Amino acid sequence: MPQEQTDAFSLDASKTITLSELAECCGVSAGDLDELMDYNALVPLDGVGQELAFSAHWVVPLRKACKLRTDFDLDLFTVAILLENLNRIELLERQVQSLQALVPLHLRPMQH
Amino acid sequence: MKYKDYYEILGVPRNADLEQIKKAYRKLAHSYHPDVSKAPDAEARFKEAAEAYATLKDASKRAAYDELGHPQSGAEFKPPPQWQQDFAPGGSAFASFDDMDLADLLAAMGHGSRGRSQRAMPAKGQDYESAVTITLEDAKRGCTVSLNLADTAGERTLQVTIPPGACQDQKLRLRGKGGQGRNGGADGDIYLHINLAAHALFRPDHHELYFDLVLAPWEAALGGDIEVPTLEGPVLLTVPPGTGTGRKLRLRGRGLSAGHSDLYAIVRIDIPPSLTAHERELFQELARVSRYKPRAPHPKEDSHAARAN
Repeated sequence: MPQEQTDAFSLDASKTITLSELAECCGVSAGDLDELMDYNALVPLDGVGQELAFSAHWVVPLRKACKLRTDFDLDLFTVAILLENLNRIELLERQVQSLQALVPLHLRPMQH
Repeated sequence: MKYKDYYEILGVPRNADLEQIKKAYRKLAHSYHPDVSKAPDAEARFKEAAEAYATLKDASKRAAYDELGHPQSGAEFKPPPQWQQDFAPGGSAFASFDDMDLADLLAAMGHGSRGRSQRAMPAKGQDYESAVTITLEDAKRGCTVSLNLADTAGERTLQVTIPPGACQDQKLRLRGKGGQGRNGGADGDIYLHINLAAHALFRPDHHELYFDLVLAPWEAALGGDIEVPTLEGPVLLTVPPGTGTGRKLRLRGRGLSAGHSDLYAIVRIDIPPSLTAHERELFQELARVSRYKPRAPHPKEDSHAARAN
């Protein structure tokens, strides 16, 4: 079986991604991203270069929102609301993880 | 080619308007979406509904579909001869309809003379999503994982280098390693989700790590150097005198991102499950001489109480 070697690009807030790359990743047009920015659901980074740039952490929730857009034939305004809620869920999940890390093992509920 | 009754699949009459079709599709999509439904046939039902909707929501595809009449669902049928040039780019891409199904044929609409475009458009290859579980040790020092892929291009193994300092739920993009693009389109990507395997001692919070440090009452009261575990092996931790339960003691730079994140020992004071006679005497002596009142109101709490009264 052929083997290939590859490096990975981390999709977190430490990395940036251009508008055209973000559009390609998420299968949407640059116009759609403009509209999401109009709704304040998607926020670009300040003054990084000539082309608008974004934190790479947008990729995963935006891809998910765009997939749901296709699956349910949603309009872009609904995608904007979805995106806000997906970000909120991610934030809350991270907070839960932080709190769980502080809970001593002997106080944790049995995991099945 | 087998006929599929898209109206029956969506549960709408053949004269349904777009609004009825959309509503019926959304209802089915919500019931059978793979993220929602646990039914074994959910994915197939979802795809079937999506296929029906893709045709019926598009006026020209729906008109072409309606030209087929109303054979029994599953019945063999032959597409009208003019579809050959209507749906094939330049009338030549499909030498025959034999190896196609109805969904492929209708999806190809728009590429033939009936459609909006006369040439095949570049299409990006399919993106794939995958997940790997790695140990905390591998996450800290970086590692290489093997992904076995099987798609239309055949089978291959991808060796993915995960950089040091990976954390739970980190997402990685492997650009151009997904499905092959068509008509000059870019190859798809792979999105890799990282999970950290549960560890017997350490609990990760992003790049920080936590573990429970159990101290005897005298260790907590008197302090001292105590051997504690880290991902790199045991080290000595200085416990300050008077360390209470719940206190977090930091081991700088020993988190998942070496040098940039920390390891925390969360103190818990435990008592011996049973006392020897001498230990009991010592505790009794301590109880007699100590002026510590653990349940005395905190000065701040006291002022609250005073205001409440």
